Amino acid sequence: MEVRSLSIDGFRNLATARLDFHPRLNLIVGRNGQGKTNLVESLAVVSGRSSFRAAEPAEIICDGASRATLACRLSGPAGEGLLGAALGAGTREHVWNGRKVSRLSASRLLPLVLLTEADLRRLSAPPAERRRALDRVAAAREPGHSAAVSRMERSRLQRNRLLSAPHPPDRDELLAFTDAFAEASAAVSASRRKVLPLLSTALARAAERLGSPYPALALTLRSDLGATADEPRLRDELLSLLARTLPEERRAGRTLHGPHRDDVVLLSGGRPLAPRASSGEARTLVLAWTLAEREVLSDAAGEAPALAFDDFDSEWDLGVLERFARALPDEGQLFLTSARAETVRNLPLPPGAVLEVEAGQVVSRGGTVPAEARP
Amino acid sequence: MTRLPSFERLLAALERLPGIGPKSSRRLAHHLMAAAPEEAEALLAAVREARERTRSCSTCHALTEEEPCAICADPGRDGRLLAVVEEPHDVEVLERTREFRGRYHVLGGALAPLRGIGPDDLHVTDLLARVADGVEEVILATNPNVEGEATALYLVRRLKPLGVRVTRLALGLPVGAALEFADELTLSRSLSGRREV
Ligand SMILES: [Zn+2]
Repeated sequence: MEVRSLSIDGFRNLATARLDFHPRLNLIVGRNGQGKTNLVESLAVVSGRSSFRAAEPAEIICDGASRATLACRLSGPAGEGLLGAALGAGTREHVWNGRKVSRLSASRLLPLVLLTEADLRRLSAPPAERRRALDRVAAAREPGHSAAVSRMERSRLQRNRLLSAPHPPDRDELLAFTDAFAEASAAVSASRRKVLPLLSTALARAAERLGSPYPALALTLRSDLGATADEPRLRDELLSLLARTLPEERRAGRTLHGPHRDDVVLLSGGRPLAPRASSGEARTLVLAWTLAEREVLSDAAGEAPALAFDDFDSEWDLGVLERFARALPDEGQLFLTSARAETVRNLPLPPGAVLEVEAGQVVSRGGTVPAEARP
Repeated sequence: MTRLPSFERLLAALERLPGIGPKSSRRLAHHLMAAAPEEAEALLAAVREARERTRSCSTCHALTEEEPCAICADPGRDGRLLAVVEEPHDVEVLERTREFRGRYHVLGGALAPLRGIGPDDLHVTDLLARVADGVEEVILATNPNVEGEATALYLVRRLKPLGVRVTRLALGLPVGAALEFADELTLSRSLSGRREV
């Protein structure tokens, strides 16, 4: 899959334009605040991801416009097509070749692995961040995963309302929502358990390529449920756990056990790494996690997803950056942004285009120095 | 901008209708303004008459102009077979398949604690009474979403002790959030492929 071009209209500070992309590397350079991140974010929004900074769609639409539209011309094994996203006040719509599609379909049409500033804190962030990273991989590999996650969340909220009611809940009604929650939870748990080993192995390999000093890296799932990936067993286990802890849940007024509490923990030599790793090391490990995500997604889709890395050079020393450049996959499209054009130009990056952004516009376009032409 | 308070009230009223967004409400409102007076009057009269004449059937709670409704009154329908649906329009959806020869029971919604809808807000008590009176199989045809599934699970718990066969429509979840979005072929298949729960 290749993003041939991106059309922008009314999105944040970006000027209305159509940008053509290089099939391999697009290095987006410019001073901070000029629109580099907004460009990466537009790709993310088209691919069905949440916007980076504002929860409110109103804030991503530039002042004076009532809606924003973004569209990517894609070409891939499935042929050419136009994938668009229209953002209005509180609404978002995805369109593939003129037909409305779901967010999930958009993410399958434009598989995109992202790394932004917020992701760099993933190892020490609350568990939800790491769950989301795992769920992205699970959603790409296991067809029903996204739907199961939303069923799990919805049934949990309904169930919490019953548990927090001032009067004791109707027994059969509570059991009905408990069944619904357990059914969806078992599906979510099973697919998380299926994809975790793939991500874990790929992460260990990528960390080694990036020169991580930590041996025997592995991702492990901290969960209220056992290690099995067998759905009926997971469901029964959760049901009996919930039955045992019902009095506690009534006192707390919410669901106390289930996959909504899962955590993904990075271990080295069997011990959690987050408390020991320096912030630089932790960021390098997130970099490895991202490369691993890309590898697993590319196996799932049978083609390489695009990789977008915002401000990719700001937090690392030159050694890590060089290893990162060499660890980049041999195929697939890359979008990298940087405020330090000169440093980045000398990295052993694949051939591609350099787009310079100023005040929301691409003001110049050049080529990268091919690796073989460097001294 | 000229102020058109009455026109805007019409726009707002139309926009409250399900499936009508700002664009369609504007199109409808302009159409009504440009229409012949008889056309607008006929619409008003049709709304008024339909509201006056239709009521909910006291047996199955479907929409009807007679009491009981045509399906409840039809001796050709199989009274041993009862399909439980959420809303009156679900009856029409299932009728379109021409496959189902039993009778219906409309719950009047689905369990939704977040919206304060509990078992007492649905027609559950009279469902149990109907089932005790000669029904052999209850087909749960609630929507394939969390609330519909939980309602079905709830009814299974209430119906099983009565010794009746309980089945669930074999609708796959990706069909959408509601029965009404399934096409007739899918519905026919899910009726014939219904599974015991
Ligand atoms: Zn009736």
